Amino acid sequence: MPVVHPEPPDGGWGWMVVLAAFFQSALVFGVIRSFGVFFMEFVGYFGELAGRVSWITSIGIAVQQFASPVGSALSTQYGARPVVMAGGFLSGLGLLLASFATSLTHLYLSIGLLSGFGWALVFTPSVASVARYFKKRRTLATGLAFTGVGLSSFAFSPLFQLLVDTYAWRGALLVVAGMSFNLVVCGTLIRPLTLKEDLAGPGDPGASCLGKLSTLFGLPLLSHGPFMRFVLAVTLINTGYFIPYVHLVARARELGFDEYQAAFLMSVAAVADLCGRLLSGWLADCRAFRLGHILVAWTSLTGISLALVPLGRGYPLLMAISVCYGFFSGALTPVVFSILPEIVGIGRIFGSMGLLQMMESIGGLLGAPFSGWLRDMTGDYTASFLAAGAFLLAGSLVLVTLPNFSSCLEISHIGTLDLGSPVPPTGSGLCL
Amino acid sequence: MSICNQNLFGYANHYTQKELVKSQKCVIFTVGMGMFSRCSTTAAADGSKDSLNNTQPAQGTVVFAVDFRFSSAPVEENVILYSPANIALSCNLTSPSTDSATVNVTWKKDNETLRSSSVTFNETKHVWSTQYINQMGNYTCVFKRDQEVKATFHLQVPQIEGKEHHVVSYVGDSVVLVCKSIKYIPISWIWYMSNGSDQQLPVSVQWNKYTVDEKYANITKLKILKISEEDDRSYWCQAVFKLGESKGKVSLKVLTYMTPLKPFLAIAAEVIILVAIIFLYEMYSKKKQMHAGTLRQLMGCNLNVISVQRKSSTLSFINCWRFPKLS
Repeated sequence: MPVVHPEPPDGGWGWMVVLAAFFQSALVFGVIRSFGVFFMEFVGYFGELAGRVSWITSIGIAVQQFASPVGSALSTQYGARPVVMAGGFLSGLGLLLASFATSLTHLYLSIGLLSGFGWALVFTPSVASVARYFKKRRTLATGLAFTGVGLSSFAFSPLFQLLVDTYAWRGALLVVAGMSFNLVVCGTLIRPLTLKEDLAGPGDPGASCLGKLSTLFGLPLLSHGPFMRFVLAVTLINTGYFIPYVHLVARARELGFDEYQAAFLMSVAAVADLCGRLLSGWLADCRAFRLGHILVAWTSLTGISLALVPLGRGYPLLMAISVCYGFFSGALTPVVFSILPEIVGIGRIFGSMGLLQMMESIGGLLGAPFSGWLRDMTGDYTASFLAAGAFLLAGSLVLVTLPNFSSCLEISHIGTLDLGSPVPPTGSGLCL
Repeated sequence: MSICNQNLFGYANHYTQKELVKSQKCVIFTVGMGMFSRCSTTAAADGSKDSLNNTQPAQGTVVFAVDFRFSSAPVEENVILYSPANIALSCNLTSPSTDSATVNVTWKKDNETLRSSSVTFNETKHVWSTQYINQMGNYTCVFKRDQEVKATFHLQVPQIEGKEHHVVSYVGDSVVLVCKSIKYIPISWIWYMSNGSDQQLPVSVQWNKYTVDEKYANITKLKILKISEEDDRSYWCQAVFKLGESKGKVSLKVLTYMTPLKPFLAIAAEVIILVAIIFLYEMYSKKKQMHAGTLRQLMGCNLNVISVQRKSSTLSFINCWRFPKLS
């Protein structure tokens, strides 16, 4: 007989879940970001063009994002633990099979489809579980969980290069598959938690199979006004967010700086990103300001710093702007995830997160090519960064329209749902 | 084709030998139909890339000059020759005019003194030069008074870089060994493999074992199929130029699948152990909780614990009973 918690525990075993989410984000996104090492090996071994080899990671990322609602639906039904364990096993299996590859198609299927699907089953349930375990310290916990991405990006690139130099790409993929199996351990750490909001159950028992399925996937959320406005805002944010990752180095090289200076800009932005995540998490949980206000502030600041990038002609100024961009963009990430329960209620967090991931990925996929197209049209990156800043500012404008933004009342008055009404923010400051 | 006798002068900074490789900037230039490369920290005279198939020596003479004084450090110059040419090596020594002591000059090729007939000496400017060099080697001009200063010109064909690190592959797999010569296009490439006893055998191209891909003239790829343990050796790619040959080395290391399997199995074992530990700990702490829960129920408690049956739609409330306190 499971124990029902009236409120998220805000600690205790929750910190182990944060640890699990930390390793999970390291093993999913760290691996994806460091896959460039294998890229060169595949180009040399298969004698294929760079464009065809790039599809491997593109398919993996696309599957991870578009299959997120599947992960959410399964977690709503069966709980996060078995889903994350299964996802970890699948992603490791995909990489294991890839080490025996004899053609690029084999790699598309094993890394792209299989591992991508495994990653989809892992990411959203883990982050949602962190949100379920915390209320007062939710943003800090989410921020801590995401620091795994930054740290692993530092560590995994040289590590993967070392593995490739020692074992060639086949052996290196085998070892990375073993590392990915640790995602199963992460899943084991996520103890099932029963909250008061889960008791209402997914709709009435008389609903049809299709109705139940649509509820599992969170489809009723599509008619939820505030949620859809939030999704629009996050999609706009995502469109501008990734542009510097793709084009900042190119902008620096365009201004005449050499490869190491340009790469150093990205490293500095990554460190600022890490600090931003942690600081923002702590600040948001101080409850001095409302999460909605904080998110609008960070988003606007990120947009402004991106729009200022074209002004950075000298290296120190460009470095300062990169630090600002890194800090503010890192700061907005945990808030995006921790504000979700306030909009849709914690009972529907799995479904909402899956849908959010799937739809914001459209922004991510379109942003970089659009920016590249602008650059081809205008001749340099000024227009691209201005557009990126504009997307972010547009996103923050949409965020202003969210409920609870301008009301001075403490208690949320929106008649949202019977299933898990948004939790009103409490006014106590817990700045320890 | 008549080309005026162009003398191109180049000047070098002074740098010690260990800086030679790092700080070099190379300029490729042509005189007539010859092509040269000059590596120094200051760019030599301007030139342009020309077509690279030529067999006649250049009409003009290229002069590589070095300026220094008695107090200078020894100067090293790398001159890379791609095709036959007339080269003049010139060393200009500047000494203060008040100095009237005689200076002794010698030119050496690979530590053998050259005959004076091919050396010219100009007293007013202390210029010595050697002309019509058609051999590779290290040419040194030595000025001796009470101290000794010298400059060395290394005349060589373009060097091929192999790969410093091993190329790793597996038994039964295939591998591609690559050698590149980026700036200069060789006439042909030849591959050799080591025999364990310092000998080098040419690699014979068999369709089911070795294939050489020469799609581009300046990149050669040796593809080895069905690798076995004996293929774990060094391979040399030799580029043939008009004036000589140069080799690059690529080593192949062959592993079996057992080698990466060991760390994989170690990590898999660690995963299984951790999962087991976490589950066991959870069962243990649940037992403790239930134990403490029943104990509290018996002794009277303040908590309202509501247990819910999740699968059925009815909620069953189990209140916490209060037993009268046992005095």
